[in-house]
Amino acid sequence: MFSSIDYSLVPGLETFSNVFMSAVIVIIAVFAVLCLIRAIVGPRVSDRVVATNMIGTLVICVIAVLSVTMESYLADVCLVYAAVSFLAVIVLTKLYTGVYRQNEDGETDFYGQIEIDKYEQASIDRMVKEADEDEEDEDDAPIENEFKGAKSTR
Amino acid sequence: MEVIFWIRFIIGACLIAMGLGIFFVEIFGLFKFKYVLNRMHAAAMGDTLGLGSMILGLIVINGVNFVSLKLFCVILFLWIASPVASHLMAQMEVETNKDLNEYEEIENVSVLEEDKEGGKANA
Repeated sequence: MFSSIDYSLVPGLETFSNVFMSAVIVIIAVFAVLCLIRAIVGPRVSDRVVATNMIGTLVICVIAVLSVTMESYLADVCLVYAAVSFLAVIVLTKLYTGVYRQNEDGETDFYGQIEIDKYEQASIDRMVKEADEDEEDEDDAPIENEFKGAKSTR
Repeated sequence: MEVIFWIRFIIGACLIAMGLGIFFVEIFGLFKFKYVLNRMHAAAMGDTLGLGSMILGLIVINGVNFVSLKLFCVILFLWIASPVASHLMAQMEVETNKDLNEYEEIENVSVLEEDKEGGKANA
């Protein structure tokens, strides 16, 4: 009763099963394309990671359906794909958080990317130049004052 | 005997259709909501209930053998791994978004503060 279905006994069920499983795979493929659109559009990096994780889940579903309909060894592939997809999400999140912490001093825009336009770059260059000049002045200034002080005491 | 096969297939097909419906709701939520932390509610639903019901339907169709055991292991693994992945993604979003307060406004903050002060006064 609980063994696998013997399709030779029920020929009508075989065609119905094939049509149904093909329809399921096509629908899941459409869903995966919609997820891909969200992964491309999605404004923040987290959006893209969420959409990628969801595509992984849909692919696991497709492999499970194929393992039942076609080849039994695809169940092992399904298990390994689940592990690798989980690992990919962990690596992406940890990597992005680490890179963000490294660049925490820099300005970030809404998308979480560091952006410096040319006006900001010019102002940064000017500030750096002024700071260099100030350092030079500070180096020179005390020596002159010492000379002046020496002159006034005489 | 043939009738039992048909009944099993129909039960499994209903479970698979339910999984597909939950995936549809998931993707509808993915396009409906405006912010990542809201979208994550919809996204976590498909990982657990959608894939769970779908693979349960496949197990009902396939019967009891080693393939079903492996598919059940997939459900078990994803039910452990998916909340961890969702937590990591939410943590990344909170850590890397400087303008988080724009999306996380709490209404009636004054009422909450009054409650807190009243509690202190009573204590």
